[in-house]
Amino acid sequence: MTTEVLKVTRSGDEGVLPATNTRVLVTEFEYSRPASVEEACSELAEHGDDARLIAGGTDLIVQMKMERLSPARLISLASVSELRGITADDGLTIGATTSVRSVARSAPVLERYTALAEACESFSTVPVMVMATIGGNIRNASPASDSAPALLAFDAVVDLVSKSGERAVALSDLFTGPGKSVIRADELVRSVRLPRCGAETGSAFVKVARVMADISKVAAAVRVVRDGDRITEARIALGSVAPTPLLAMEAAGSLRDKQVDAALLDEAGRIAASESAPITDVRSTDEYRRRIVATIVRDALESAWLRAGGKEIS
Amino acid sequence: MSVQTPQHRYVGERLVRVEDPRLLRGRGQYVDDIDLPGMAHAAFVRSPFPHARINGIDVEAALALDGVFGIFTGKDLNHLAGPLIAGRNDYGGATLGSDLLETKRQLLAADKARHVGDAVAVVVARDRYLAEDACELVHVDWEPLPAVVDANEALSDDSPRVDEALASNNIVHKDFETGDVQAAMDSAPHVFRKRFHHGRCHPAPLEPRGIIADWTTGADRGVTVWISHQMAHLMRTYLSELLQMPEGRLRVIVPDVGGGFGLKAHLFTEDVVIPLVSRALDRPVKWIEDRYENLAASNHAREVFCDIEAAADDDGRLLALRMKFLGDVGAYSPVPYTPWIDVGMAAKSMLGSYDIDNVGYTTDAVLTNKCPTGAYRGVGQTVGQCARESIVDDVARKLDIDPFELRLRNCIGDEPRVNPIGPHHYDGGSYAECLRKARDVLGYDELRERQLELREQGRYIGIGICNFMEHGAWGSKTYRAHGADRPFIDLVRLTVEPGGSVVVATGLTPNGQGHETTFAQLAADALGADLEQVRVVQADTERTPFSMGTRGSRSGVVGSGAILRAAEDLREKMAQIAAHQLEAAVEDIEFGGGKASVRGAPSQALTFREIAQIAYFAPEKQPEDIGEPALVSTRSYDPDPTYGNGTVVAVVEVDVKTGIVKTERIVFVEDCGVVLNPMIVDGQIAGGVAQGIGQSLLEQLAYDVDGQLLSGTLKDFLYPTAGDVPSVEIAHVVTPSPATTSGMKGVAESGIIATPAAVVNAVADALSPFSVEVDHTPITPNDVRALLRAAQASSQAATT
Repeated sequence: MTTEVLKVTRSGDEGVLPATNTRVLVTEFEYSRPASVEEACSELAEHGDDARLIAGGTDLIVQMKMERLSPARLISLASVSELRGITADDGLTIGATTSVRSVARSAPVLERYTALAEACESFSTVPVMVMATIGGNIRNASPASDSAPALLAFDAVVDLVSKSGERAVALSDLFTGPGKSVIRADELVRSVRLPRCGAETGSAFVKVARVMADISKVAAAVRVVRDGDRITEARIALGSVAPTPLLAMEAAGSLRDKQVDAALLDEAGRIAASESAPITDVRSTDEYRRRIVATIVRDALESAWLRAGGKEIS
Repeated sequence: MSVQTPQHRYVGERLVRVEDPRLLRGRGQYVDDIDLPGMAHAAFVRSPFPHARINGIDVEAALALDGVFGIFTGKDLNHLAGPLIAGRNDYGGATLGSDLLETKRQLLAADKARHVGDAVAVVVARDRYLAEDACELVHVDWEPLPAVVDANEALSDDSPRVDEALASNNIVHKDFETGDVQAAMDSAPHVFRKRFHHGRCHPAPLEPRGIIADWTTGADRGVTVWISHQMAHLMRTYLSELLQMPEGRLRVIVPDVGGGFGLKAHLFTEDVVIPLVSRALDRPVKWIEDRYENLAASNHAREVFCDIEAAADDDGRLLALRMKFLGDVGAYSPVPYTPWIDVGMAAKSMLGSYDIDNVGYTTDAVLTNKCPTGAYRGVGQTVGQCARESIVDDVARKLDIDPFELRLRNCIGDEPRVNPIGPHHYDGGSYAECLRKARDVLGYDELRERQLELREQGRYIGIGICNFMEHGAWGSKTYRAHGADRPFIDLVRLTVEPGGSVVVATGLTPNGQGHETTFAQLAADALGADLEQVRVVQADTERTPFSMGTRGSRSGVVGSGAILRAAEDLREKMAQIAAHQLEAAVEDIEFGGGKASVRGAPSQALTFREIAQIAYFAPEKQPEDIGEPALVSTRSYDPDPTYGNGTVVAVVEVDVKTGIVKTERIVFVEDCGVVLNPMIVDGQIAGGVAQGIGQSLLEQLAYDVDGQLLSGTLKDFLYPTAGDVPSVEIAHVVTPSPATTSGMKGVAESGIIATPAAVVNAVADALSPFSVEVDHTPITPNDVRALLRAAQASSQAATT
C-alpha cells in the first residue's frame, strides 16, 4: 500500500490538479512474463532502472496511476512458480510472491508466528489481500507496511538474488527511507526467512486505523520469549511512526530478564514512544501517533506475554 | 354509487423488492451504461485555486490534439444560457428560501474561479481519456486572490467578497421569536450555553452525477437528456427555460440511479453545458462525474455553527430555547433551493417534540470560497437535532436528571397540534411512547449499571439519545409552512391495459426507494389485482405525467395518495362493466385476486382481462351509461405535511487511551404511520444510520487555511465500512397520520436526521467523568484525545 499523502497543490503552485489514483495508466510500457527466477534476473540485468517487477501490483499500479513511477517495462512474476509457497522447516521460509492472504491463513504462521498472521489479516480488503504479495510488501519499503513490523519482530532475513549472485540481508538492515531499501534494481526478492519459534514464544500485532480496511495510523508488532515469570528476549517493531519500519531497541532491551508486571510493560510502551519519530499527515498527527505507540505497544506486549504462556498481569 | 374497497393483501407486507434481482446481478442500466452512436465525451478544466482571477485561457495546444472535437470556455457558452439563479420561482416552484441576495452563477466561470474545482472550460473529445489529456493542455492564466475560508471571518467588513456583485458575504438573514426568550432567560434559575459546529459533509453517492445530451436539429429538432437525477420533470422544466427549447421537444430520461441523497435533486451548471456542447458539435455528448469532481465540485452540505442557549427550572423543565445558526455555504447558491435550506431547516426543526414556550432563532448563510452546499438527505434537520439534543443532555447532566426522564418531562402530547416554529401543523404521533419503547428495547437500567461497572475497569461506554421528528411528505402546504407559496403537482396515471395488465406511470423519480415494489403493492391492493399484474413505469418525461420528483420523504405519501384516487376511478368503471355483464348491482361488485366478483357468489366473476376486453373492444357489452369506457385515470395528490417521529439511542465505547469511538449498538424506534413495506422502511433506516455514524465520527471535507480542499478522494473523505456500523435494532410504533389518505408519513430521512445527535451524545456521555464538552462533528480519535489531555491538564492545574 502506498503511504505518502497525495500531492496537494497549494495556492501559488503551478495550477495543476493533483494526480490521483482514480486515473487510468497514462504511459505505455512493455510487459514480459519470464518463467523462472533466472530469466527474471536476466531481464532485470538487461533493463535495470527502466524496469519494475510486478507481482500483486497493489502498490506499483497505484504509483503508476499517480505518475510517481513510469517504468518502460514491467516484468511479471506471475509465472515464476518457484517463488510461491510457504515451507516450514526449523523456521519458516515464505516465497516472495506468496499472497498476503495465504500467509495470514497458513497453519504454521497462525500457530507459531501469530503477529505475522494478525498483520497480514489486517491488510486492507480481501481483494487486496489476495493480490498483494509478501515480497512486494517488503520491496515497496513503505513505512506504513503492515507486514514489515511483524517480520522485524521475528528477526526476518530477506534472500535476494540477481544475475551476479545471491545475498541474504537482515530485514532490520534493509529499509533506508520511505520507499527506499538496500535492494538493488537488478535484484529480486526470492524469499523471506523467519528463525525458529518455540512454545515459550508469544507474539502480537496491533494496528490503529481510521476505518476497517485502511492503512495504519500506527502499528506495532511484538515478540517475547518467556522463561517462568521473566522475559528473556523481546522485539518491538513499529509501523507508520518513522521514515522506515522501526525496531524499538531500547524499549525491547528494557524488558530483558525482568519479572513481568504492569509497570514494566507500561514503561516499555513509554520508551517505544520516545523512540518513534512520527509525522503529521492526512491520517493522523505526530502527537497522536506518539501517544498511541505507548498504548498499543503495551497492549501488544500483554497479549504476547499471555500467548507465551505467561501469567495474567494484574 | 359506492364501490367496494378491496382487502389489503400486499400493503404492510415485508415484500422483497422487485428491482433488486436486476440491480444486484449487474443488469441495472445507469447513465454510464448508455452508449449512443457517434457519442463524444466531455471533461472539465477546473480551478486548482480557491479564489483566482482568470486573465486568459489558451486552448490552442489542447485543440490541436487529434480527436478533440471542441473546447468551450465561459466566453463561448455563457451568453447562450444562464446565469443560474437560486430562489427564482420560474425554475419550477421548487425553491424554499426567499428574501436573499441573488447570486448569479455563470455556466463556466469566466472572470474568476470561486472554489477549488470550479469549472472554467469543457473539452469534448473522442473518448474520455483524450478529453482528460486535453484538459491538462488547456493553459489558464490564473491570478490567485485571497480566499474567504472561515464563515465567521467572512462576516467582517474587511473580508474579501466571494461575489463582488454583492454588498456582503452574508446572503440571507432571517430571525424568529415566539414568547419572550430574553425575559425567560433572565428569570430562569439555570441557563446553559454552547457553540456546536456541525462539520462539512457530503452525500457521496456510489454513482456520481452523470448526463448524456443528444441535441438534434432540423424538422424534428429537440433534446434528449439521460441524467442520473431525482426529478425528471423539473429537470425538463429547468432545461426548457434555460435552453429556450419547448418542453414538448425536450425529453428527460432517468435510468437506474446509484444513490441520490438530495445531491441529484439540483440543477448544476454541467447539466446545461452538456446539451449546449451537443448542439454546438452536432453529436451526443456524455459527461460522467469522477470522484474528485464529486467531492470537490458538486455540492457539500451542513457546515453550520450553532450558538445554543437553553433555560431550565430546577426540575429540568425547559423554559426557553434560542439558537443562532451560521451556515458556511460555499461559493454559490445551490439551484433551486438556495443556501438557506441547511440553516433554515435546522431552525425549523430545533423544537421537535419539545414543549417550550419561549423559542427564537436567527439564521445566516455566508458565502465562502469553498464548494457550494446544497440539499443532502435530512437537510438541516440533522443539524437541528444535534444542536437541541446536545444542549438537552447538558441540562440533564448538570441538573443530575436522567436524560430519558428529562425528555419525557418536556415532551408534547400525542395529539395533533401546532408548533409555533414553522408553523408546523403536527399530525400527531407517539413522542413519549417511542422514548419509553427505546428505553425498554435497550435494557436501559441494566446498561447504566454496566456503564458504572465498566468505568471501574477503566472502560467508558456512553448512551446517547435523540428524540427526533422528521418533516415529510413535502408539498405545497409544507412549503407554505416554510414561508414559500409554491404549487405542487404530482400526477400518477393508472391504466388497465386490454390484456388486464395494470400500469402505474409516475414522474416520481426513484433513486433507491423501491418504488417499483411499493407503488405496485399499493396499486395491486387498491384495484384488487395480483402484484404480478402491475408494472410501474417511471422517470421518463415522455412516458410519465408531471411530478415534482423524489425528495423530502415525499414519494411514498404523494404516490400512494394519487394511486388510491386513480384506482378508485378505475374500480368504478370496472364495477360498472362487471355489474352489467354479471347482472348484479354495482354496489355488490367486489375486487380481489385480479377479478371482479359478485358479493356472496364468488363464482360469478370476471377477470381484469375479461373486463378490459369489454372496455376496449366490445361496446355492445358495455352498459349504456358507461360514458368513456377507457380504463385510465390520471390523478394528483398534494398531501398535508407529515411529521414522523421516533427515538434513537446510540451506545458507544470510547477507548480513552486511543480516542477511538466504537458504535456498539443503535436502537431505533420509529413511527412513520401506516407502513407500506416494513423491509423498505428498515432499509431506509439502516442506510440512514450508517450515513449518520459516518457523519458524526468520520466524514470530513477539510480545507486548509488557504482554502485548498484536502479531502479529494475516498481515502481522505471516509465512509464508514460495514465493519464500522453495528447491526441496527429497529422497532416500529404505528400512529396512522390523519393528514394523508394512506395514513403514511415520510420516513426516508429519519436515520440520518437522528443518528448523529445520538452518537454525539453517547460520546459525551461516555466522557462525562472527565468534564469535557463534545461540541462538533466529526469526532475523531485525535479530538477525543485532545479533549482528554486538555481536561487532564486543567485538573492538574487546579490541584497545584
